[in-house]
Amino acid sequence: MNRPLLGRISSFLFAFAAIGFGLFFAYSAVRFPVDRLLPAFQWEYALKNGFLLFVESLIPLCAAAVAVAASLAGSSAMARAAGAPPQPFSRIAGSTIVTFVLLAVAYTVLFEGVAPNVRHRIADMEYRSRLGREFLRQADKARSNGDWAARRDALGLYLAIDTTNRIVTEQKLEAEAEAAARTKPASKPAPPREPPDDVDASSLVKKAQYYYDREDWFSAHSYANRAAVIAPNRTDAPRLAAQAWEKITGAAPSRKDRQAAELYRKKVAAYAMLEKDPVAAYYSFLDLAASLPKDPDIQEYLAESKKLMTSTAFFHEEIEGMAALPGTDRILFVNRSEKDFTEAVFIGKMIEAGRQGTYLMDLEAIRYRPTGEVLWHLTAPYGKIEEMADGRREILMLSVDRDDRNVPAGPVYLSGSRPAEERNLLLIAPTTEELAVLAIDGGGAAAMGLPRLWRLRERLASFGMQREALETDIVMMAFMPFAFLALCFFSLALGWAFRARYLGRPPLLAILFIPLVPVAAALASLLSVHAHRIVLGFAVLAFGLTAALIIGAALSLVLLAIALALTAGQAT
Amino acid sequence: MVKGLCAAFSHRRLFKPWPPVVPSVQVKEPLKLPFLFLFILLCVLVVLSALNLLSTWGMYESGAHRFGLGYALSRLPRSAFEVMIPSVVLSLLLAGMRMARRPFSRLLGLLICLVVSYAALVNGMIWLRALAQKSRPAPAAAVQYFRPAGFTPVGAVLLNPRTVKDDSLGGALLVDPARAGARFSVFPDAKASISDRGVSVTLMGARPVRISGKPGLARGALFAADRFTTLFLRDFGVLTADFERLLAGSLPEFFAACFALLFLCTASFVFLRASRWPLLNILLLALAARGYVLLWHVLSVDVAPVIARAVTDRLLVRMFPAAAMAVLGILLLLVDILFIPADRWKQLEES
Repeated sequence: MNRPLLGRISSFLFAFAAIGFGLFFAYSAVRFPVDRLLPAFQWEYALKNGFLLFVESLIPLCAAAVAVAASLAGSSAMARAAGAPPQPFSRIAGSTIVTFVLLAVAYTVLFEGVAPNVRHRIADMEYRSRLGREFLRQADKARSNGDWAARRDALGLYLAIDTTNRIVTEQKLEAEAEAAARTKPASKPAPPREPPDDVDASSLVKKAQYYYDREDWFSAHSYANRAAVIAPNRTDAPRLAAQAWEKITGAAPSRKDRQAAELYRKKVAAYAMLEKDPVAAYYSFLDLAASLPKDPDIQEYLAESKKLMTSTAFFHEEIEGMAALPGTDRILFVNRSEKDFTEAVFIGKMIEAGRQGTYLMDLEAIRYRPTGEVLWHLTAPYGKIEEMADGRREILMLSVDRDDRNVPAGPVYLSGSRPAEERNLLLIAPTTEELAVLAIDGGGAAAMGLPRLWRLRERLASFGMQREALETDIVMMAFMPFAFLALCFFSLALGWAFRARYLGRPPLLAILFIPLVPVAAALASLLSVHAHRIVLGFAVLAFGLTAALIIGAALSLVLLAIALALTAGQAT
Repeated sequence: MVKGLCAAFSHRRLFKPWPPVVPSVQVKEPLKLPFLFLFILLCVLVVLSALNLLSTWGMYESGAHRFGLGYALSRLPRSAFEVMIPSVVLSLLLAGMRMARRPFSRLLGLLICLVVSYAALVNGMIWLRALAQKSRPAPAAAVQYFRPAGFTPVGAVLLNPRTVKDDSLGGALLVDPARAGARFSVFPDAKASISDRGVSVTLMGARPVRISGKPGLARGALFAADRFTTLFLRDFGVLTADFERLLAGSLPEFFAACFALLFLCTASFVFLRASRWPLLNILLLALAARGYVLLWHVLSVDVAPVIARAVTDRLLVRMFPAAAMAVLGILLLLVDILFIPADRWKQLEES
């Protein structure tokens, strides 16, 4: 192993990489897009965007580092011992080949493995920033309306995104205090108290009425009779006594009996709804459970209705608070394209919440004929993706409140309609993984690694993505590491061919000019990558993916061979 | 004997350079340079023309017809014309690299490069333009920009036509992602028209809608360059367009502009002798060449209109960028003569 050249290249690579990353980090911090991101994300953005810029600039940075290292390798550090035979350059540079291959592997991992995830995270920060600003706007609006509880809630949602914002935390505390001060304690209606134990007729009549209302016929009859004795001229006391007696003698069913009958009727009605309308059945059993919490039938069917309901709807509270979570923004795809109709779907935001499920916000779907006739067109505020037993996927578009039947949020049909059993459901073709790639501005293929892109390419094209663009990205991703390798060898040959004529360390002025080398290397390498893209894009369009892969392999081979020949052919 | 053979074939002998057939490189190199330059130019022109041809077909023609020899032959003169200036400038750069390795008289080198490159550029542009005018390919159609059942961005909206035929789109779904309410709207028919500014589509229905903007170039996206390369290509595009305008308007002005540009490029060989570090010198020359193209863009697009308002002489306005290039070239030549030692290359080689 030739330590001087390899050591010099390694040193320059490290220095260029460190300085490059530092500069990109500083640039990202200084040019922080305040209009797109919340200030809380400044350093996270600087780190991630700096990393992305660094990865995108790895080719020119490495090319420049190798060229500079090789061109300065002819100075004192490489001076051979007096009388020692000169080594051919191919032998000097032999060990660098392994280094370049390792560098190409590292570049592949960073470019195709790490960078797509980082790009996705930045897109997510942008979404959360938009959301945070929307919450602040809602909070301001609530304040101007004097709705302190709404302001408190909106600020709470904002703080879920920007957790360390002290100003908003103080504003929330203020809103909480205001909301608490303005909320009147809930006054429960006082249960009617038993009238006082007075002995006048009026009090006795009141007592009789009190027990009559509670179906204590005997007490009612007793008090009414006592009132009639004290005040014989009152007509209400004997009438009440007669009514109580009538109850005692069993002339009519008791209220309890009637309640039991009513309960039975309600149970039967709710049970009947269980299959047809599980949501209505759920609310019916919920009402019944509120009055009879220990009834075993009600408990059983409440659980059953809840279970059945989750196949057609989901609880609104599941999605509450999720808006601040990371997800995929603005998804658009062709759901189905048949001879007679086309179906397209737009999803404002998709949040994958692990085992809880995948939730959607701001949905819109349309089905139309080729003639332009709209068969149906719907919007829905929320949705949840359900995997069906047969492997298909459907979106539940009806979200319900756990306790209040008056706040369901289901789809609104802007035109046309669908059968009742389908109205709240939408079968979708893409998987959750594919949906994440179908974002309008989520970077598409750029946000995916090569294996994933290769696996999904056929299906993604059927959802409206451009097949040729996907295939060109596949070919480019496949051959970028080879382009990187070839450029490293070209740089080595160039640097060695034009090595410095300094006997020792270069003068300060020359060192000051070194930053220009990456700039020139960037110019050359970007043009080289663009030329690759033209050739491979043309091959995809003209001959298809397979031929493009073959052409790409041949091109890479030729360029690598030329680069290696140039490297090997350098003078001693 | 074995020892002798080993000694004869040792690394020292094997890698020892052969004695030169022609003793002096000083005589041989200037003679070779014009032919070498023309050879480099030919290679560069072929490569860049091919790239231009492939990208042009891909972006504007691939939707309409397949790539074939007939199309390639009809388009090739135009492609070669469009890359003529970058080819000559790049060839000068590569010839400069050659001169950095095999130096000879700087003034002779400048003169040879200037004369040969000037002859190549002027003749190349005149003849290629004449050939290109004879066989201009068919203009682009909507079929190039829209793909059936695929979403194509047009400005801020997206369009998904069910069918695409020439400039007609059938069953078009318009998606406006920025809208708060209904984002989808469907139109039975649409007509697209292509211009230099982009695509405009008239969607016909109960309430006709017209959208326009830069298309997401269904196929152009395949050839989309990064932002730095885009600027680079833009600047060369402006340069070529200006030269084509001068060529169409007045030959003397075209000759003068060509001379000014090439004089500046050859005078920039001063950078090849700027330091004792040839790599740095070459990269400085490359950056300078990039800077000149950017300078031309600034002078032609930004400064020339300002001058046009101030002066009435049209000739001055037209030739202002070329004059600035010539002045800059003279300055560089003066720097070379006055401050750079005449034997710098010799010193470098001896070091």
